[in-house]
Amino acid sequence: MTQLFDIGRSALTSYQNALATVSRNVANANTPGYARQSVQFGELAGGGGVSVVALNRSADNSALFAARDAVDERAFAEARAGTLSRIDTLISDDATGLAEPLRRLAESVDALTAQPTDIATRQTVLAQAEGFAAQVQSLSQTLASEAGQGAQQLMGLVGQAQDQLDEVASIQAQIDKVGVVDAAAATLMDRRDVLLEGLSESLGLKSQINGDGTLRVTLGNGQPVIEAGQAVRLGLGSDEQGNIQLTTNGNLQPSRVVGGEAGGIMQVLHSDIPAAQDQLGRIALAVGETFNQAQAAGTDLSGNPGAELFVNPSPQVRDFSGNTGAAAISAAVADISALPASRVTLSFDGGGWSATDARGVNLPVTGSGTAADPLLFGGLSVELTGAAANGDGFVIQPAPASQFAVNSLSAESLAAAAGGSTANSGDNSNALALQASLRGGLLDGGNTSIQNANVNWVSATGQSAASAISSADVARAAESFALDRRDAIQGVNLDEEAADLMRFQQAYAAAAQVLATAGNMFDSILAAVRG
Amino acid sequence: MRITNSMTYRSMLAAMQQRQQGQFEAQQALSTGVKFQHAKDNPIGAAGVLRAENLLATLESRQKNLDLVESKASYAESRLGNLTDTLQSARDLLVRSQTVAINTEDRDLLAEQMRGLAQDVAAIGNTRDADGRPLFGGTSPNLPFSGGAGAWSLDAGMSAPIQVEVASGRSLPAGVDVRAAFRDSSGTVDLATALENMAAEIALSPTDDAGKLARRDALDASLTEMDAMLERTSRARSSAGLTLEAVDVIRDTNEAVKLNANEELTRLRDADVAEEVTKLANESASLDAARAVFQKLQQQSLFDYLR
Repeated sequence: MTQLFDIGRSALTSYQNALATVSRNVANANTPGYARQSVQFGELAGGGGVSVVALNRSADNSALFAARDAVDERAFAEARAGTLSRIDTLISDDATGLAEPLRRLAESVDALTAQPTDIATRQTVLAQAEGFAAQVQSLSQTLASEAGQGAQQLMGLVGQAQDQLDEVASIQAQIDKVGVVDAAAATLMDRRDVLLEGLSESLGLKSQINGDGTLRVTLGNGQPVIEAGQAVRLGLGSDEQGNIQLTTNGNLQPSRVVGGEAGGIMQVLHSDIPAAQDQLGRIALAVGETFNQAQAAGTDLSGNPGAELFVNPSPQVRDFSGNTGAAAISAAVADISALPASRVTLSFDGGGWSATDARGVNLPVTGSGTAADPLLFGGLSVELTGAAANGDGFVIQPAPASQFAVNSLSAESLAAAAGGSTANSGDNSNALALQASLRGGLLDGGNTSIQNANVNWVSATGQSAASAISSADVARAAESFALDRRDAIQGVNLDEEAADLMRFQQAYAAAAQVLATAGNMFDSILAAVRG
Repeated sequence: MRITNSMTYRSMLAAMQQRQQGQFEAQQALSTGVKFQHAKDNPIGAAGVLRAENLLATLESRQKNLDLVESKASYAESRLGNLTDTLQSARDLLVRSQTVAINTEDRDLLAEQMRGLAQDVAAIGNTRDADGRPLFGGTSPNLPFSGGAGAWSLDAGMSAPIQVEVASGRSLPAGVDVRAAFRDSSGTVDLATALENMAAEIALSPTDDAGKLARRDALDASLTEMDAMLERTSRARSSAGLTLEAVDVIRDTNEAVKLNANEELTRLRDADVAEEVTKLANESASLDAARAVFQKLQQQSLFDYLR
């Protein structure tokens, strides 16, 4: 008889426990990271009662791992697609791009060839020159502010990742201490998994929960970021070429080991934005050079050689931070048609100089580096002072667009007439020469006109943006697939919970009935004894 | 596969967002009239659009140049017409001064008229254009004739007119080359001075036979020279006419190129309204369906049956 009481009581407690689990599932159906829980019943030894032998947490480590990977990829692709789309919009829009100012400038020169002495026509050329320079400035500033925002975002991401990583380390320590899975431990694990996914999303950290329940969190190359239960210190630093990079405990990490949003931003900062800046600078320099050369070759209305219309950018040199030799360089543009639309890395190794553009294409180097015989490569001319050590290098930005500006000239100062003409000459041959240079192949070895260089730039940026967007679409689809796989295992299905609720409620009611029956039996016996 | 609530929610949301994106794109295409807004939506098309727009701008400049060439040539043509009339009058004076019965008073009158015509020739030569620059004289900033009656001289800086581009690889002069027309056959005496010299010949009244003979020969020679001057003027005038003819031909060709470029631009850029309207209707219908399904799924729960 007491056995009936014991069995009934064990069932009541177990089903109460089961119902509590169901209600936790229902309550957390929309909680991010929550893994569905279920109870596992077991027979009580000897007595025949029931007990909850385990709380199961429906989490699958391989599905979680795949989901984190997919989130990492998606965040990386989206960060890059976002910035590239903005750059694309910027340079392909009529209002912000170079196409319209370049066209207007060309039109004003066309008009100048027809009416070389007309003051209003000359003023239009000056106004369009100012408009072009202003557009270059504005694009350059917008790109700089994109870079600034990217750096800010990186700081935010790294700061947030540090907090998350610290929390993961401390949660894991608690989980390790508990040993068994109970409701509290399950909550900790849910929280840990949310944090790990966040770390994949922000920095592309990889994390693996081993069979024995231990956790391993690493960078993309397998280097652990939680060591002996302690999270490493994350930070940002500059590499040799001045690129912003992740640091762990103060050590620089190569950008390829960083994924997620930070990885995407780094790629944008290291290659996409500099590429846009260099394209912009090269076009500005080409326009400036063309006008200034034409000005110098011609005669203005006062009978003098023309003054420089544009202030052209000059190459900017950045020494590798790890240079050990005493070499210093000064660079100048020697041949604009050979200039690559990217920055150039000049490095000294094995006693010789070598140069590569941003895509890693080798640029042949000639010359010895003296003033009489400068190093020549990629349209640049470089003079050296001091001796370089092996491994030393320099990054040369051929035409920083931010330096591009327009001089304020009077309308009379435009040199439309041929050199040596008299004052007030109605000659237009220098304006015709300018028109021809503007239209002619000036860049890429004499194959590309300035306007076409812009068209190519817009089109290539559009291509990169389109392919980044399609990568992001693919990554989103893959992510949705991976998240579905994860949620199929650990998500909550309310119908299922409702069914469980009914099932356990009925069982609970039945167990209560067992107790009531036992009570009745007990009463019957008592009544029989009293007689 | 076990379907959980978060999966349903996520996939329904993604479906609605995708439909909304499609709807937004179609709406944008319809409201702006262009197929794509930025290069990323169609990189190759965007490059084509930019090239076509650049070509159209160049064509626009060339059409403006044609207008300029036309206005300069027709003004020059009309002024050279005046010059022809003036020289014709001068020729008449020469012929009348050859009459045997002419008296001294008449000679003086004819000579006076001839000097007036010399003034007229200089005035025609010194015509200014609408922009205030000398119409004749090419790139020189100076008026062709200077000095005034009795001391005419021709600007040494006179040149051919400037050439302006009117089609790819084709230029036309913005004006007429009058350097030959404004001088006599020797190339050293300007037209106004030549007429004044003739006036002096007309005014001569020799009394002896030798003098009379000399005057007649001189007037004969002047008449020959006058015909040559008329010939050179008419040649300059017809060169203006040729320029005007060329303007018409090139303008037609440019219009054809422009039409082509515009068609290319339309093909690359302009939205196909029928297509976009269909797309909008499609996307809207799909969005409605997605919303209805979402609502239906959200309503369905076993909990509703638990009483």
